[in-house]
Amino acid sequence: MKLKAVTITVFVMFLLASAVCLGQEANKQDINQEEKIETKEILDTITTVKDSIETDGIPEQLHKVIAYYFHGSRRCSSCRKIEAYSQEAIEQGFANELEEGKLEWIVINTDLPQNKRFIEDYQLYTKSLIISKVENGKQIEWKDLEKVWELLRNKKAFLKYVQDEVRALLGEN
Amino acid sequence: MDSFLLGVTSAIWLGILTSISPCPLATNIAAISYIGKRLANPRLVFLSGLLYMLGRMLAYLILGIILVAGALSIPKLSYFLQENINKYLGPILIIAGIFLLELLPLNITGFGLSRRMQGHVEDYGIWGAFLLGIIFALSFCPISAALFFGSLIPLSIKYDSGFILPSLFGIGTSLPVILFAFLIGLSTRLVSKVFNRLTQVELWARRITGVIFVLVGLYYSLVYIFRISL
Repeated sequence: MKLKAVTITVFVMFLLASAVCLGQEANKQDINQEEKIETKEILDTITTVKDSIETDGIPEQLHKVIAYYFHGSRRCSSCRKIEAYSQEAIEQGFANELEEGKLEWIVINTDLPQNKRFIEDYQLYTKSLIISKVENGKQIEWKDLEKVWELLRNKKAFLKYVQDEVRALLGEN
Repeated sequence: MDSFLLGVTSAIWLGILTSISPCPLATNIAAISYIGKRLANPRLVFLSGLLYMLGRMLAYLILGIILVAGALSIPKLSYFLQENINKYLGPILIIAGIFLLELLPLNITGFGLSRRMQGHVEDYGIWGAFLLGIIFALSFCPISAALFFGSLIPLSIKYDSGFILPSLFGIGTSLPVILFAFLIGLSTRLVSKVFNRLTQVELWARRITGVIFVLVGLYYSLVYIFRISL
């Protein structure tokens, strides 16, 4: 009987802690909404600074392909694998293009408020690899490489798929 | 017609793929134990399996109709479900586990139900499988979201079938679970019958199910509420 009471108490306390944690999170989201505008301003400044830095190192190209990997704050093992395979495919296949700035590899967390816009921009519904073609500083074409989820168990086919798709987009430059 | 047949096969196959992928493993184990636990009565195992399937079908069907009609955008719905359902899944499973373990009495009125009434309450228990089907279907993880929103919904839009293909996907996601529940439930029944321990074994099956629910609930709470990566 004692054991029963102790177990119940432990469970109830855990549930209460969960409720408190959920409540705090809801509060935080409200604050985030308010801060959103401010963050955007700061972000614009950062982007400007980043642009000037980049021109020092890798030449900033007006015509280029960007490969984005979008993930959330929670990282599952399959999602990490997709990120690792994609990065490997790109670094192995396009070392020169990366150095010349014709190809960029960018990893973005869509759970951060400043990155939420990418969800609508690229119609994201899960962790995704997107390749985007930029000409004269403007995106003219993009593609969701959705087969990455199917090819996850076949690394060789995965690398080939990503490299073929990136090459096709680069080739038209 | 042939091409629609291809759509039908793909929908079922995508469902099976979703079900055997690693991320819904925890909820699948909970579902298997819940469906198989009434092993003294194979009719009830069959009925709860069927209700679990119907629950999953209904959930995907509603999402399918909404998305094929274009009432909501795929990204919005996908992220909404992934962010919200998983958070509440943990506490719900822990509470269900407390009742399965009989830590709290179900007859809160105190004076106890008559034997006949108690039988009725236990029969209602199989409707739990229906609810479980709905909730588990809606708790998307990255892989199931990729297969449902990225493969099944485009397929349904292509065939303009927000009704049939999502339902078939639901059947596909429940098939492996039901199969395992039957295999485990009915083989345990055979063994316990040989040793003449059917009632005792069923009691333990219920307790084990309760423990599994609490463990899966703790796992979901830790990952989705307390954000501890396990």
